[in-house]
Amino acid sequence: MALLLNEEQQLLKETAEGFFSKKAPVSALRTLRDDKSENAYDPILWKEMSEMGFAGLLVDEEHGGTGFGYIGAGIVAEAMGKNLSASPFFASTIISAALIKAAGNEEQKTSLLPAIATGETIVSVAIDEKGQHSPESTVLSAERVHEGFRLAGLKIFVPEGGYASQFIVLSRTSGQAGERDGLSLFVVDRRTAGLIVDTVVTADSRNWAKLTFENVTLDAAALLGPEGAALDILEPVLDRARVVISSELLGISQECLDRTVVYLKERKQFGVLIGSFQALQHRAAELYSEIEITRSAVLKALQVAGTGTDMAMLSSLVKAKASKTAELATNEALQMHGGIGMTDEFDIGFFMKRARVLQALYGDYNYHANRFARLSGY
Amino acid sequence: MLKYYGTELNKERNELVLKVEGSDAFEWEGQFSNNGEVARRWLRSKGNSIEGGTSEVQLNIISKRILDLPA
Repeated sequence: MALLLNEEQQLLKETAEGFFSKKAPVSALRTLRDDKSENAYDPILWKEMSEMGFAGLLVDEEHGGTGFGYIGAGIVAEAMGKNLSASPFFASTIISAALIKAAGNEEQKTSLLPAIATGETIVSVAIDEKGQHSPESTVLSAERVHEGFRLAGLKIFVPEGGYASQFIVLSRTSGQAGERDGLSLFVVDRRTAGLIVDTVVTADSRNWAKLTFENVTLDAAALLGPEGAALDILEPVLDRARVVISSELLGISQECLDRTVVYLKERKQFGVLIGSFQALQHRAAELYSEIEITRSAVLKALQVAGTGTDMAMLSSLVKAKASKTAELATNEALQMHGGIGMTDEFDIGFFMKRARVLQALYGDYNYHANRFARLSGY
Repeated sequence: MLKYYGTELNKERNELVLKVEGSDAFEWEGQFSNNGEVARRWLRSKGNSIEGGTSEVQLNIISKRILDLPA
């Protein structure tokens, strides 16, 4: 497949870029932060996004979505990255919807997917328990009790977890931490007795939560997918989610370059435009090249994501590359903006803070470079 | 040269701390992180290579004054 968007995808890109730059630019995130908005998202924006069809991209028509697929998801995520638009788009309509689609029975699909596609229900996923991503290290225990399961343990870094109404929780039903087998997924309503949700104030001014499970008792029907084999379902879904995160990182990188080039053309120092210094021209040109390579890798991965192909290596390649490029882009943007870039009044710092969080989400550069090497048999 | 080297090293050091801590590094307010000590120090380090003469200015001085390269 050519590394180009078709007409329908190009139209979605223009629509998404116009929508987010108008409705949810960086200044909107700044307002959410300064107002100490409890959930760090705007429900009115989310309703409009849902009406635009952005919440149903991965949900098939049978369940009320558009079934546009991963290329559409990447296009929207990139536009949100450029504008740092805050919403439960990724947490609910990408990773949660894909997990329910891949693992859910008909009843679970019917009760959750249409409500996700309309934006009415916000679902999130709880995977990690420590600072470094590692699904197989899951300790949170799900013990069989006569009425179903009893969950005890802790989850952190849950995206949009402070206001999600349902959580998909990776739990250990058997085996030891570090083992691939013995993991299971459960759908947990946030109002369930024994579940404590704490919102964490983070550097990117977005909503992240810590979940504490104090003997949370669930019906057997809460089990999502096969008991003990969750990673077989979770890994391919995570690989696709990582590509969508990479799209958001790409949007951040592109916006940092665009803003920096504008600045290089207007800022004078020593009587000349700083953009006339060859040292800075080369750095801008190098960053441009890195972003173009990243863009091609991301699009290729988005195309593959829509097929059933195993994409562990490609996903790790893309997440590693997009993370590295975003680190370079945000660092270079800040340095080339000089002292003004350090001030909070200037937006560049917001991009850097968001980028580092996304770089870490579901495995950073080192995690994925290592995984790529392992899968390559090095 | 020391200004250039020291500030660039400090930025790298802070990026490394962020990677070691993973998502724990992102808390901005709260007891767990001592009100975002790691994140705030990381962000502050970015100013090191700008304040008191940028890294680019230090490199210009090295190339012109030490290496005697033409203007």
